[in-house]
Amino acid sequence: MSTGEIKIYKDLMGENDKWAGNIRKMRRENGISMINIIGSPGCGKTALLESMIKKLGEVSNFAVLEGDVETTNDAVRLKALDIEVSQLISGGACHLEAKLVHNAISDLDLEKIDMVIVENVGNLVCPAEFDIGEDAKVAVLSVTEGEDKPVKYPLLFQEAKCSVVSKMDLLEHLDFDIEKCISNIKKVNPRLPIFKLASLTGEGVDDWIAWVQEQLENAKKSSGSS
Amino acid sequence: MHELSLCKTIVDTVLEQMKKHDLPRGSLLSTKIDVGAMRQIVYEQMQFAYEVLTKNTIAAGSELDITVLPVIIKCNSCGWKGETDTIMAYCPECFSVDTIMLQGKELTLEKLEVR
Repeated sequence: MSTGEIKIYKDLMGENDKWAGNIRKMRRENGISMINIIGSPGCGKTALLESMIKKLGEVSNFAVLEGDVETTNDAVRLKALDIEVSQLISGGACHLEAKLVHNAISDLDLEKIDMVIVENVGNLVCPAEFDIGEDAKVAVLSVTEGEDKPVKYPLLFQEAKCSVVSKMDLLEHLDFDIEKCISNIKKVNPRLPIFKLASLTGEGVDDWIAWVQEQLENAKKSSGSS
Repeated sequence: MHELSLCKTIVDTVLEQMKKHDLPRGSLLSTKIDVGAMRQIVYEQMQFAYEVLTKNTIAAGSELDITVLPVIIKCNSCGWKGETDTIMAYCPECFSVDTIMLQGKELTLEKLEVR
């Protein structure tokens, strides 16, 4: 019995990346920026969103895509801020993929939006693997977690364009070595901007807001609209 | 557990190719994929997903053969090129952070071995 081979060379991310490309095209045409917020369950992703929308919501229009395995709790929480929220229920999936995000963005009134914020499914691993057509992945790590997370889950911190160390107001009550945490992030990605903040008290939030504003401006510039 | 969704792409492609080449059940020995070491794939889960998704198909009984590609970086400062650990983003030679990853994030369905 002779054996042979059939050569294929197929990029397994190809299908996902095609949809991610479609999202980028749609966004470019409308001058919309998009950030993809990734972090463990309970690390403060929704609170981070609330703090930035409260600060910037007067001047910029946000649409939030809430990725959750189940329930619309986070979406309801954000609706109170009077912004466009779409719930993406991944139905057990541990991450969002570009096709689902593309469908959700297609349903938005793009002329009225300056930025799409995706709150990914609470997970440090899988969401880092998938391009969903964003400008930047934001890696969120709270001080209630371990300072070794960046070296345990290096891909997220390598793929991210900025990282947020959240819940800084709790630092004094914890045995969390903030310097070690920062050095671990730098080990994985030496050039990553790091924002240390507390969404609830507002500590350090302004620097993060300035970074978000920069994303908004870049998207407007690259679309050619002012 | 994103292995399942990745594996679905693999198995869909395998079945498509088998039909295209008119291959009968039992003729596929193995499916070979390349996975970069940066990818957070749990190989046992990938194997399990492959087994589950090929069950009761013409690809049943075939194996998923995974080749892990190490991370290779190139330093733009001193020109060093070589394999590194997945969490080392800087050059082990001159400690510059100005490096590019040449290999380590691949996820490719390479070929099918058939009889």
